[in-house]
Amino acid sequence: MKTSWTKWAAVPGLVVIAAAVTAANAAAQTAAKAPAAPDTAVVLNAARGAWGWHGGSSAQGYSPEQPIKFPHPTHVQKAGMNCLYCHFSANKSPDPGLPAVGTCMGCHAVVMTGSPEIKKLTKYWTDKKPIPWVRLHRVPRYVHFPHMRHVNAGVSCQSCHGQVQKMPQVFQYASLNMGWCVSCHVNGYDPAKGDVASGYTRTATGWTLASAPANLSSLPGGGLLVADARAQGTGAPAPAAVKKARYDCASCHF
Amino acid sequence: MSTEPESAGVPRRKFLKVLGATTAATALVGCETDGVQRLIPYVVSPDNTVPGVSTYYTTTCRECAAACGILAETRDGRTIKLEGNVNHPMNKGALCARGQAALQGLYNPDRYRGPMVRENGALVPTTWDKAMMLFNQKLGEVRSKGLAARAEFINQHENGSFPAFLDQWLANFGMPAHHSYDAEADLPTIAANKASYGVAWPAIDFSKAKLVVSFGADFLDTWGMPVPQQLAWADARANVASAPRLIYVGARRSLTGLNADEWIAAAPGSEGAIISYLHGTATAKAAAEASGVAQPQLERLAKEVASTKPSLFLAGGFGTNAMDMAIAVNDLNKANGNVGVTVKPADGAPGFDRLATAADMRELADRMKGGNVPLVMVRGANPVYTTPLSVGFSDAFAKVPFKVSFSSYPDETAALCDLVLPDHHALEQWGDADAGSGMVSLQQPTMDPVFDTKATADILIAAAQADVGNSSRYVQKDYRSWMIAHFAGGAVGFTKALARGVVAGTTLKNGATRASAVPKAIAGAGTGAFSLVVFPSPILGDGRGANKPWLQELPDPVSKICWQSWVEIHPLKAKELGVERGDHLTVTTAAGSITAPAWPYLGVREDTVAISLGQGHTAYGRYAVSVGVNALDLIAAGEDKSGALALSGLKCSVVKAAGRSPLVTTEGSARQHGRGIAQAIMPAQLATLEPPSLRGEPMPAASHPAVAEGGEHGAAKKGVVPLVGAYGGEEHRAGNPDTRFGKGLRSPVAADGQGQYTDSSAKDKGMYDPNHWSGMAKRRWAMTIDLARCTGCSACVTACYSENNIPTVGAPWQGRALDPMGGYDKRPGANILKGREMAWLRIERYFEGGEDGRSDFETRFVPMMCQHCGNAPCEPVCPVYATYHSPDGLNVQVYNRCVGTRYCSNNCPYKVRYFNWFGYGEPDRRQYAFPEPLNWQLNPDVTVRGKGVMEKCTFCVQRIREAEHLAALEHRELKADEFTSACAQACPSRAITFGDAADDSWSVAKLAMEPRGYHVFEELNTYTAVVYLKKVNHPGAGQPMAAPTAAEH
Repeated sequence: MKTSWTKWAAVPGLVVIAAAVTAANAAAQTAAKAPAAPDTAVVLNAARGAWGWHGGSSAQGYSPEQPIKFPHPTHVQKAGMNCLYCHFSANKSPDPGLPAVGTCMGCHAVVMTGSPEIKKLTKYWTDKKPIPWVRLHRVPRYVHFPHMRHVNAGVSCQSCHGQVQKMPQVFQYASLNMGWCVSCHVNGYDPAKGDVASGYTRTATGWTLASAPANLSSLPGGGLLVADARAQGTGAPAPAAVKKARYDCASCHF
Repeated sequence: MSTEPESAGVPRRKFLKVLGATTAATALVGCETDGVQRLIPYVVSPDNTVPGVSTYYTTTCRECAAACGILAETRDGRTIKLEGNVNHPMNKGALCARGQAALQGLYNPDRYRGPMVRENGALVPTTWDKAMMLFNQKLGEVRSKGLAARAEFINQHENGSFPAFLDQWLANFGMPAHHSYDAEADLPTIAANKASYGVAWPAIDFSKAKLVVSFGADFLDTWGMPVPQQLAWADARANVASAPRLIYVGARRSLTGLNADEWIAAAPGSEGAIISYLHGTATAKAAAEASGVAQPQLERLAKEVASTKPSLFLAGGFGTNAMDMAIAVNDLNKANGNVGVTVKPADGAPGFDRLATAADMRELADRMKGGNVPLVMVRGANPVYTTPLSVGFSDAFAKVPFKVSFSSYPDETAALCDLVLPDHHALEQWGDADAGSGMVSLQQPTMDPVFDTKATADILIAAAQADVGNSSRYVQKDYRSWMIAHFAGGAVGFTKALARGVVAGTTLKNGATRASAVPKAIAGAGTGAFSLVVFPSPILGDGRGANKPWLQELPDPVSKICWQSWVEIHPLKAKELGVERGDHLTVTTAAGSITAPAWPYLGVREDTVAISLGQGHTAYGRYAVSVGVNALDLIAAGEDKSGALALSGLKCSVVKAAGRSPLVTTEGSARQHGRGIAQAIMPAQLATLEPPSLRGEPMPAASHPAVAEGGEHGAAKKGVVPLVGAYGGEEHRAGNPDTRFGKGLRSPVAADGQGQYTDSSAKDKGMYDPNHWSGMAKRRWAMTIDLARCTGCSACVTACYSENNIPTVGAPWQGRALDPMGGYDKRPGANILKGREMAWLRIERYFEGGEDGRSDFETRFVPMMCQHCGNAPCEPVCPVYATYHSPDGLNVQVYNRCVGTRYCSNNCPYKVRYFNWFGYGEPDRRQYAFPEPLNWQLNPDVTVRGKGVMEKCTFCVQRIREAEHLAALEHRELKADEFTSACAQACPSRAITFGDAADDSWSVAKLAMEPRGYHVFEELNTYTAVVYLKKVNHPGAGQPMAAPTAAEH
C-alpha cells in the first residue's frame, strides 16, 4: 500500500534543497576568489558544486588573510624546517600544536628584524599578546580527530593539508567532510600516493624536495616534511601496503 | 541484500529520510557562515605541557575536614576533572561527590572577581592596593587602640600547617588564637573519644569486626571521614560469606542506616537507655519503654552483642546528651574487648583536633552583641548561615565595627562584611594536610587563578611585611616559600614530593590553644507531639555545597529528592494527618518554624519528623538562593556537653499547611514490583548458586561466519542454546539477533546491525567479523557492579557529570516556558518534575518489605546506566541509525546523526536514555547549563550536546579511545585494567569494575563470571554488558525477615 502523502512530504524538502544549491554555488564562487597559490591551488580552488563527492558544506579552498603574512614556503623550502618544529605536538597529541610567539622570536629576534611583517610580530611579542591567527582547518565539535594517530601511521601532512610548503597563503586543501575521511578509512591510505602528494621524494637517507636547494639534503631528516617517525632513521622504509583504519562511527563521534 | 522486510505502508526509515533531507539542506546553507574562528597560541610555551594532552597534578581536597588526596586533570591550563590520588593512604584513589564538585567551586560563576569594599552600604569592587591599604590600616587601628586581644579570626577547620601559621600570625599581631570552625564536625563523638581514648578519632577496623552497631554514626554519609570509611566498609562487606553485620540504632534511617541489616528505631535521645541495658545496668523492659523499641528486639540485640566477638560500636549524631551517649558507647567497646582490635586509638586519625564548637560561636555572638569585638576576620566559614537563627549571629555580627571576609563566594557572612579579600580556591593555592599513617598530603595550585583573588596566607604575609613590628618575622615572600622553608627536605625534596602528592612526615604542629566556651544547655526540649531530627546532608553538608549545581542536582541518596527541602514523616502518621507526598507541612519548635513539602518515609519513627540541613540560603550565589528552607531555624540556642548544637531530640508540632509542591525527585517508584532489578541473597544461599548460564557461553568457532552455519541450526549443532524463538539463519530478519556469541558475555548483535557480517555473499565481512584486521570485535566492553559493595553514596553520579559534560537542568531559570507570552516555570527543579534530568548514571533505591509501615525493611541500591545491550531494543527502532552497536560491544549514540525522534528512549526497558530538550549546552539559551566560567570545566574529549538529541552513558568511550591511542603510540596492545570509566574510578566502595569481558586478563572478565552475577531484565534477552552481583543480606538470628529472599526473584 503506497500512500500518496509521501511525495507531498518531499516537496518542502526539495524546495529547500533547490534554494541551498543556489546559495552554496554562490558561496563557492566567492570562495574561489580567494588568493590562490600556484600549481595545486589553481585546481583545488576551482568552483565547486553543492553536491560534489565531498558534499557541499565544506570550507574547502578557504584562505583568509592572516594577521601576519606568514610565508610557509620561506620557512620550509628555504630554511628547511620540519613541520614538527612549529606544530610540535602533531605526533603526540590530538592537537597539532601552534608555535608560541616566543618560538617565532627564537629566530626573529635576530633574523629579518627590519621586515614590516616581523615588526608586527615583534610588537605582539613586546606587548606579550598572542597572535590571533585565523583558523582554517576545523571539523565540527562532535568529531574527535587525533592528529597523532594519523601522523604516526605515516600519513604525510600534505595528504590532508596540501603542499603547505608551497602556499604563500595557506588555504584549506581538503574538504574535511566525512566522506573524504571515510574514503581513506575504508579504502585505505596508500603511502606511495601520500609521498607523491607531499611533493617530496623518498631517498635512502630520508626525504628530499625535488626542487630543493643544494644545502637541504645535509639537514637532519633531509628537509623532512612527513612526520613519519620511522622515516627519520637510517634509510627510509619502502612504502608499506595500503593502510586501512577503523570506520566505526564511535571511532570519531562521541 | 536488503535487511528491511517489505512491509505494508511507508517504511519507517524511508519516511525519516525525506525529513532528513530537508534538515540536511537547511544545515548546509548555514555552514560557511559560522563566523571566523581564531587560533590563539601561547606567548611563551609553558614547560612540560603538550596541548591536547592532560597533565595531572597532585593536591589535597578541602571540601570537608578529611582532606583526601586528589589528582587534578589539567588540559591546556584548565583543571577539568578531579580524581582520587591512588598514592594517598586515606582515599586510595577514590573520591566522593563533594570532592568531585570542588571544580564547581573553582569555576563558580558567582565567585568574587576581586576585592570588594563596602561603600555607602553596598559592597563594590576595589583594587588590591586599596583593599590591602585598608586592611593594614584597620589592623593598625585595632592595635593602636589596644583592642587587638579582642579581635577574632574564624577559619574553616582544616588540618595542616596553615592553622599553626595563622595562629603565629595572630600572636604576632597580639590577637587570640583563631576559631577553627566546622559546622558539620562530629563534636560529641570527638569529645567522647578524647575522654575515652585520649585521641579525637581512633582508627576503625571494619574488617576485624563480626558485628557493627552504629548508634547514629553515619559513617557512610557525613560522620568522620566518609571516603576511607566507605572503602574499608565495602572491603569488609565484600567478604560476603563472613561480612560484618550492621545494626543501626536511631530514630531516622540515614544512608548508613539503609545499608544496615537491621534497624532499631530508638526514639531520639533514648540510645543511652539501650546502651545501659547492653551494659547490664538497666533492664530490657526499662530500655524498651524509654526507646520505644519492642523488648524482644532489644533482647535479641543483647544476645547477639554478648555472643559475637569482636564487635564494633560507633556513636554519632547530635542530641542533647550526645556526648554522654558516645562515652557510653566507647565503654561498650572497652567492655567487649574491641579496643585495640576493631577500635585502634594508637592509629588515631589526624584532623579532628582543636575544633571550635557551636558554643564558641554562641559565646562570640554574645560578645559581639555587647560591642566588645573590634574586628572579625572570617575565612572559609559561614557562621551567619550555619548558626541557628536563635543564636542571633547575624545581628551580633553587624555590631562589629569592621568585618573582613576572605570568602571566595558571596555567602551570608561575606555579604555582611566591610571588606572582602577573596581567597584562592583550594585548587589554586598551596597548603598541606596530615594524611594519617605518618604521611603529609601536599596541596598545590593546579592552574592559574580564575579570578583576581589572592591566597589568604599570602595576604597575611603581605600585611605582616607592611607592619613595622612584624616585617622582620616574615622573610619569605609568600606562603609557598614559607612552606618550603618549613619542609624537611627543602625545596628539592618539596618538588620531588609533589609528584606523589604525599610524603612521610608531619605538618607543623600548632602550639597555640584556645579554651572552648562553656556549653550552655538548651532551655528545654519544648513541647509538641513529634520529635525533631535535623541532620547534615550527605551531599550539601552543612550547606557549603548548595552553590554547586552538580550537588543540587544530585538526588539525596535516601530521599532521591534534589533542588528542594523536604520533611520526612512516617507514612502512617502522614495518613493520620491527611498528608500526601508534597503537601506542605509546618514544623514548629520553641525556636522557630519552617514549612516544606512532606516526604512520607518508612525510615523515620512514627513520632519523629526529620529535615536535612544545607538549603535555604539567602545569599551564596544563583544556585543556592531561594532553594528550600534552612532547618537550623528550628534549632534552639544551646548545646550538649561537647558544645555541639542539639540537632535532634527537640519537640515540635507538625501541622498540614496550605499548598503543596510536587517533590523534585528522580525516582518513579520506591518498590521493585517484582521486577528483580535489585537482587539479594543470604550468605547461606551462596553455595547453592548455579554457575552462570547466560554469561560465559563457550564461543563457537568464529572462523566461518557464513550465516547458514552461524544461524540457529548451526548454533544448535554446536550446543549453543538458541536465544529467541525459532528463526533460521537462512531467513534472518531485521532486528533479530545473531546467535553466534562472541567470547565473554554472550552478546548477540542484531543481524541488521552488523553490516556485511551476516551477508553470506559479501567478500568483506566488515568490522563485526572477529577476524577483521581492526580487531574491534575481539573486545566486549563491559561492567560489573557489586551490590554487596555499593552503598548508594552517589559519588559515581557526580563523576559522570564531571567527565561527560552532563548539563544540570534544575536551576530556577532553566524551566520550560509556561505560555507563549514569555512566562516560564521558575520552580527549582521544574525540568526534573517533568522527568527531564540528564543523569546518564543514576542510583536507584528500592525498599523491600515494611509495606505495613511497621515491620523492618531492607534497602537496595542499584547504579543504573546504559546497559550496552548486545541485543539492544533501542537500536532497531532508530530511523536514522543514530544508535547502533559497535563491534567492540558498545551501544553507540551518534549525536550528529540523531534527529530526536526519541523512539529509542521509548523502547529502552532501563530508562537510561536522556533527551536534551532545551539545548543546555548552547550558550545563547536561557537554559544554558554552564555559565562562564563553569564551561571551563567541560571535558574537551566529549561533545557538548545540543538541543534535540538523545544522549546516554557511553561507557566513557572517550577513555577507551584515549587508552587505545596511547597503546597504539607505544606499539602495544591494551593492558588489562590499564584504564577505567569515570564512575568506576571515583567509586569509594569499589563496587564498579569496567573493562574488556572478552579478555580473561581483565578483572571484569573474572567478576562477570561470579555466581552472584545477573543481568537486569535478563528475561528480555537484551544480553546486557552490565553484570550486577547480588547484594548479600546478613539477617540476624531470629530477626523477622524484612526482605524477600532471592528465591522470590
